[in-house]
Amino acid sequence: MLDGIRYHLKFTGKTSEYFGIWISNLFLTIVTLGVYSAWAKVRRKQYFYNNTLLENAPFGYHATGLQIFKGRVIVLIGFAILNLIATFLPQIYFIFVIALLFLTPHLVNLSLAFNAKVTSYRNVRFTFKGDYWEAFIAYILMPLLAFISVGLLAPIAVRNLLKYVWNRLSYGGRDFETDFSVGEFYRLFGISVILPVGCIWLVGLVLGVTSLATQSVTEYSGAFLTSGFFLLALAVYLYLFFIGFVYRVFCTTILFNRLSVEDKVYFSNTINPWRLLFILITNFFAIIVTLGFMIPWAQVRLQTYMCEHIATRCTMDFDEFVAEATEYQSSIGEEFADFDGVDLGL
Amino acid sequence: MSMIAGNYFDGVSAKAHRAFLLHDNGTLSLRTQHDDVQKIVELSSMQGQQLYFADGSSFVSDHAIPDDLRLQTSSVWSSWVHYFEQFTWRKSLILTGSVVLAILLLRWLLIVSAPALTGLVPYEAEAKIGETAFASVSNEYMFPSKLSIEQRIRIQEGYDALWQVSGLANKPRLYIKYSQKIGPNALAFPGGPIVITDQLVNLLNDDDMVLAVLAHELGHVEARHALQELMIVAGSTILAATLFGAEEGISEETLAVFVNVYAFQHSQAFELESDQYAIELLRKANIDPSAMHAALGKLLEQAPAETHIFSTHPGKEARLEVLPK
Repeated sequence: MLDGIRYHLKFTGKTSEYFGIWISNLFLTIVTLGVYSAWAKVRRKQYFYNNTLLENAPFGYHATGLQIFKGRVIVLIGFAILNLIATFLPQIYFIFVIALLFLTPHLVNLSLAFNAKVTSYRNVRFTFKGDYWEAFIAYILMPLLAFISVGLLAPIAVRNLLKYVWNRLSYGGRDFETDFSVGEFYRLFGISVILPVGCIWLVGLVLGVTSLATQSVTEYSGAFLTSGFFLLALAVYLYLFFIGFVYRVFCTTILFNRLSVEDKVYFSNTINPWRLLFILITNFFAIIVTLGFMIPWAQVRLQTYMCEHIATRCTMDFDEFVAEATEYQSSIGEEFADFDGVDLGL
Repeated sequence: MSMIAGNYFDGVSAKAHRAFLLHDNGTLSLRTQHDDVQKIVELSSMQGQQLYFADGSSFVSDHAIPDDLRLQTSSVWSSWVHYFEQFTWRKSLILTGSVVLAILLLRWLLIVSAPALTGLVPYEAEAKIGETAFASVSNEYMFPSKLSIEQRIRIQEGYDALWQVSGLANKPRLYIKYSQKIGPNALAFPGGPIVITDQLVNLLNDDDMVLAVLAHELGHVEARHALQELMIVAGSTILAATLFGAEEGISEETLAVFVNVYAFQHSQAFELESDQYAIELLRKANIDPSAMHAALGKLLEQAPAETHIFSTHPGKEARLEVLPK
């Protein structure tokens, strides 16, 4: 199982090249009051897909601007209607919220299917076959349970979500498979979530005890404490948000170690989570400091790092393997052709 | 005529076939290395080095697609976009400048059209917004006034006289409230309710100065500043959302903070406008307009040090300078 040559993904995009596309997109988006943004998205996606090479062959992105635009208009109208209901019919608003909750799995499936369908490799498309109730569990029920359990079930929820998204993907009639153990999700959860949260609790406890022991609460320090409390709450909130983010980054490394295509192609990665985190954080600050003008640099930098550190290994001759992959023709998929552009950015 | 080497994919199997693409006066023909496929192809789309044909097959060039092929096969629109996308420092600077200019232009249009847009909102709707906002603020932070009845009647009578000379069609209701949280302050809600605090009356300790502040608040109501501000904030949010909506990964919260800081900058212009209005109104009511300067001076003296970016009343010194002493 360990034989076969390792091929690294390669990203051939350049910051200067992408900057031209990015600034043109921005300009056209502004002068068209946002309408062009759908076409801009296609240009951006195409640049990144076309420059991502697996075994020297690029990926293709085939959505049209009009499809994306239609999808966005539909979503926008939906939100407008919801807002109108919330304003004028608040009594029945909750009915619509519940309806939306049950509609979400369907929309998620449409979105995932759309994104798979418009992605090609060697002129053969990807396919996503969704299932309503599995999507309901992965996108509604599990996140809810993770929330109720104060995050303790989060690793299971994340595992479930990744499984749902990747196990239902196929390329040329060949299915993607994942082989996650719950244990590894909890192990990373321990390192990236439990440990830092535990530390902050300890620090908080020590600070609280010492401050109570050393000073009496005067009116001044009372006021100071209340104002300090809000700052502290904000800091804790930001910290938790950050930790959630770190955990997701860590989980990427699990995904690309446990992903395979029908026991023939195995994914592996040498992503260093800390290095990746460093890139994401420095990207964020570079973007803020330059008022957005380093977005192209940041995106190219991230994609380059990811591609350099994700590899595939094929147990048979790669060319032979892909030669057997044939376009999967679906008759069901075409029915939704008009509702294609639904892309929730998942 | 030019010939390009690359890989041919038939669109059914992922198998690559070595092939050549011949380009001759807009006609494209394709030939695989072993001559098993030889056909005229019609280009349907181009992505980087990938060419997709109308029959569902595709070709990936080994090198960049030559410009003559690209130009001849793409529409005027897409070649125009392509021209701008090609990076050069000059083009990038021009585009960057245009982006900044376009943002400023849209922002300017928003500020200019805000008064016209507010003109479309009926007074009743504005008053309803104001009453709702006042009710929620009032419940949370305001308590019945502790001033003497006589003092309150004096203020109310002075206010009535001001309104008489102002020529305002609707009379905004005046509330005097006790509020430790809000401190010495006066507020004008959309369409009307004007609130001054006991703390303000006690601090100024002079009826004319209190009336000067009320005149200033009447200025806000007359020019419907609160509603205009609402429109500017809403418009800026929509503008920013369309801009950054094109870019994934920027959170809406971050955006809202920037928009608010940005939009509230405009409130300084509103303050200056209301100051001038107050001066005029005080003159009409035969009150010494220097009361405005005195009142603002007193408020400034006791105001805590404010950070300039987040303040809704930036540059009080600047306001003082233009007022008659």
